[in-house]
Amino acid sequence: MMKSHCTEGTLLAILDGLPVDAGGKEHVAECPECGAALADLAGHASAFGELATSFRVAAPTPPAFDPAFTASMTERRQGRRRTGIAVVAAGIALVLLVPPVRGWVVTAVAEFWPFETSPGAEVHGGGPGPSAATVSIQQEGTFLRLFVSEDFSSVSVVPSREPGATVRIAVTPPSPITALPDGFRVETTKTTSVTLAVSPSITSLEVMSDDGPIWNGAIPHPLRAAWTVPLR
Amino acid sequence: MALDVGRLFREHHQALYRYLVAFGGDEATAKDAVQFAFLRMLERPPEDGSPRAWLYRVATNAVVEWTRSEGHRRRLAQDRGYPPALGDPPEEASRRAEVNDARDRLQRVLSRLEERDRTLLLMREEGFTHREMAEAVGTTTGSVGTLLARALKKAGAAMAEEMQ
Repeated sequence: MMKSHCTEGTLLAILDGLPVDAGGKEHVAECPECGAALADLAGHASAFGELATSFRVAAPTPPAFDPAFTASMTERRQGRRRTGIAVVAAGIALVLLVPPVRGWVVTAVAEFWPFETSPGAEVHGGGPGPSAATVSIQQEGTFLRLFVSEDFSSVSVVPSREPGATVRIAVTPPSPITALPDGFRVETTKTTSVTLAVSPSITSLEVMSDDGPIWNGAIPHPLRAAWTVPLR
Repeated sequence: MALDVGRLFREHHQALYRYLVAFGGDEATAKDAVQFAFLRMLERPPEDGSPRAWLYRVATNAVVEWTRSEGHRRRLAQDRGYPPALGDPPEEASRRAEVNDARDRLQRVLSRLEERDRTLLLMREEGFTHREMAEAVGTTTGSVGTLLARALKKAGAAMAEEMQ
């Protein structure tokens, strides 16, 4: 039989039904002090469990996600990695030669909220202050979200599947989007976001960085932001 | 052996999302962190250990990092009363109030705890083993019981204060 009182870890192990040192349970049964400590712990666990359960019941629906799509995208990314610099160089050439592509840029110019879009401009990420952006692209049920970290040190693209066939561009933190590339029509605009309709002539959407495009294979990537999404 | 990320997603994304909302309280950040963690798993899968614990660690770190860096701006945005982003589905008011109330009560308690305590308590509620919790918070399995016991005591004290 244990001579000393149970440790907190032993009491928690008893509470969770885990194996404990020999004599531990017997000691708790016989020692008023340890018995009280275990009862206290059980009371705290129960109260917290109730609190957590109340949230669990009310918890919102998690976001949709399509792992198969993500996996296929990853395979494509890996394939593109193998193509190496040649693909990136071709992308840069495309960006320089095609106005609708060149027109899709994000620039950090605002004094406080530095993100705006401005056709024909170069990306100047970082800007005078903190900045970050989220670009969400939705087409024919496929939803892509591109994250640009605050310091532009990484870019994440998140695929999922949602109904609808619209293109949505949201800028975080709130900032007015002042200009749009050719072929995009503003459906609705608010301070925090702009919903766009894509004209049939637009076959791809690209977010640019001043260092050239980042293809699907570069996530996260030290460059700032660029993403090409086929829309047709 | 390659991870079956699709299966892991089906099994864990809901609990992970719920955990992240409770942990950080921001549904948009939690959504992003869930997606980020699974995407990261596809990109750079963990080589050993529990994939579930790995997911929670990656997602938790993302929430912590994003919250720290964006907290100031978000507070300013809220103060300015910016509307929600377009494209977010409208929610039933009563449902929203219910979620907010449950989340707020949980968060008032959790906000009094340290990050590691919050993680451990929420993971325990999700049924994690001590080993998985140890992996997630970067400690030894043998320490988890003690840390959990102390976290429960702190949570108990916080709940008592909330009741007053």
